[in-house]
Amino acid sequence: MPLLEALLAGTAQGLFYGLLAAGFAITFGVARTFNLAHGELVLLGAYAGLWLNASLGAGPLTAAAVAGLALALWAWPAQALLSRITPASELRVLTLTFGLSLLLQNLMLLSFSADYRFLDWERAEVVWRPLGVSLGAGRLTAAAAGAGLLLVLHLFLQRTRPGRALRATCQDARAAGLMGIPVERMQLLGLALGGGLAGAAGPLLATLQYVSPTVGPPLTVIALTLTIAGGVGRADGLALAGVLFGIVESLVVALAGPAWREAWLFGALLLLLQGRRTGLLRGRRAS
Amino acid sequence: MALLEVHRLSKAFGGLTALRAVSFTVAERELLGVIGPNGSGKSTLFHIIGGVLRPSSGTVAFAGETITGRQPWEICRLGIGRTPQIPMVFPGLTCLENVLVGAAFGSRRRRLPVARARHEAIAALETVGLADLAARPAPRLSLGQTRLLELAMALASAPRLLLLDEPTAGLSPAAVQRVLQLLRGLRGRGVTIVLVDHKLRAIADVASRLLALDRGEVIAEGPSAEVTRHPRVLEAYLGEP
Repeated sequence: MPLLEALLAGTAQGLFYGLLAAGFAITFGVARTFNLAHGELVLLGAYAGLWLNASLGAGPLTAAAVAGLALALWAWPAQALLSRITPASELRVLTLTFGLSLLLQNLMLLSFSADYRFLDWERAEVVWRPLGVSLGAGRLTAAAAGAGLLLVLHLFLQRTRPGRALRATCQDARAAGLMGIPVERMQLLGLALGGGLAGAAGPLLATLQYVSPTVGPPLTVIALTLTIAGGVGRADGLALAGVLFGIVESLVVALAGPAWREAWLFGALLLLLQGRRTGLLRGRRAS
Repeated sequence: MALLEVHRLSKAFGGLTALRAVSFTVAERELLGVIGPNGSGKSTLFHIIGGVLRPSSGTVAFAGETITGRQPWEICRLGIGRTPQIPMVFPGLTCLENVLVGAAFGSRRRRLPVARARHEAIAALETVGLADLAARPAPRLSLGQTRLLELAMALASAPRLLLLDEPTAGLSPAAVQRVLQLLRGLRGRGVTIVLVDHKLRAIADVASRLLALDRGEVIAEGPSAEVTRHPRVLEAYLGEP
């Protein structure tokens, strides 16, 4: 039974992790560097969701939709900031996102205090018991939303003209420009998708765990690890990496205890950095 | 009317003047060779025509329309295909997929249907002799094959003008001959080409007209046979008149 529980709970958690990583991966694709403020963007979405929930009684899905649309707007200031960094070296942009992470953490501490909060809704206490395994409504909702958004993202990237142009830009922006792809527009689209997916993940996160302004960095590390494992421009790769990661994490927590959760995370990151240069599905045909 | 008109183009990087009042025209169906030793301003000229750099002064007009300061993707869609000096392909895609990007996004006929874009991409691969390698991932090509792939990517957008920046750089003598043979074939099909290279003999062999640059200035212009014997060209290349 612990194995079955780890499989089901890990799969559900992993689909949410895939969503968590999707925004990070797309932003990495167009900005060519890690966005170390990704976790804080997720938290901004979480606080937007908490506000919508408290003031309008919005559930996690409504809150995720609104927070996603709101955070997509970060693309404009982000692109304006990026365009002012000349030369736009990866280290400079990385440093900028680190500073942004600290700034957002402190602004959230000032605005929302360091209290831990949870998104409470009418189904928060509902528990399903498929195959005798207990799964809370929050976890299932986050998993369903994660799976749905990853599927939409996959179809967008693989089947639509702007999606293909975005993938080409992620691979090589200069070559994309030479091939007639409006690179700046694609960068704006990528940043909007990145911010929007991070924002949508926020309210769902607040149904899974307590949030406070300082819980962002571990979220960024999860997103970074999954991006290395799943690859950039591959929503299916991120979903697979997220599910694998979620299952192993559940097993580690079940067998070794919750204290090993972060140790496993950093261990996985180190292993990936040693061995993996391409995503899990990178070897397959790209279109 | 000339297809490309470059008028008094200048570019300065701080105190260094890379181009000084360069003017020339390219007629439809012409193959113009731009020659000059390293540092003469050839690549700067190409970067400005292709929209990568903005000129300090001067204008570039294509088919009667001023394109100075336009973005590279806009210039591509206007009908100017370009291959870069440093190989630049999409590493996660196969050869055919790389060429499909050019056919799908670079074409003047925007929103080409997928089947038509695929047809044109295959035709471009056949033109450069890479049809057999269509399914091969781009990073697995040799340097010579990569140069041909870039040419196919540019051709797939059905350009009115091709700008080729040192397409023979780093290639073996046999591969250089293959590229030159291909350029002769394209010229025969009526494609207008501006070709930059510092291999004087190779470029003079395929170009109908040469433009020689040295230290950012035009030092000679005219039929290939005349320019290659021009005293200032010999001085620039050999250090003596």
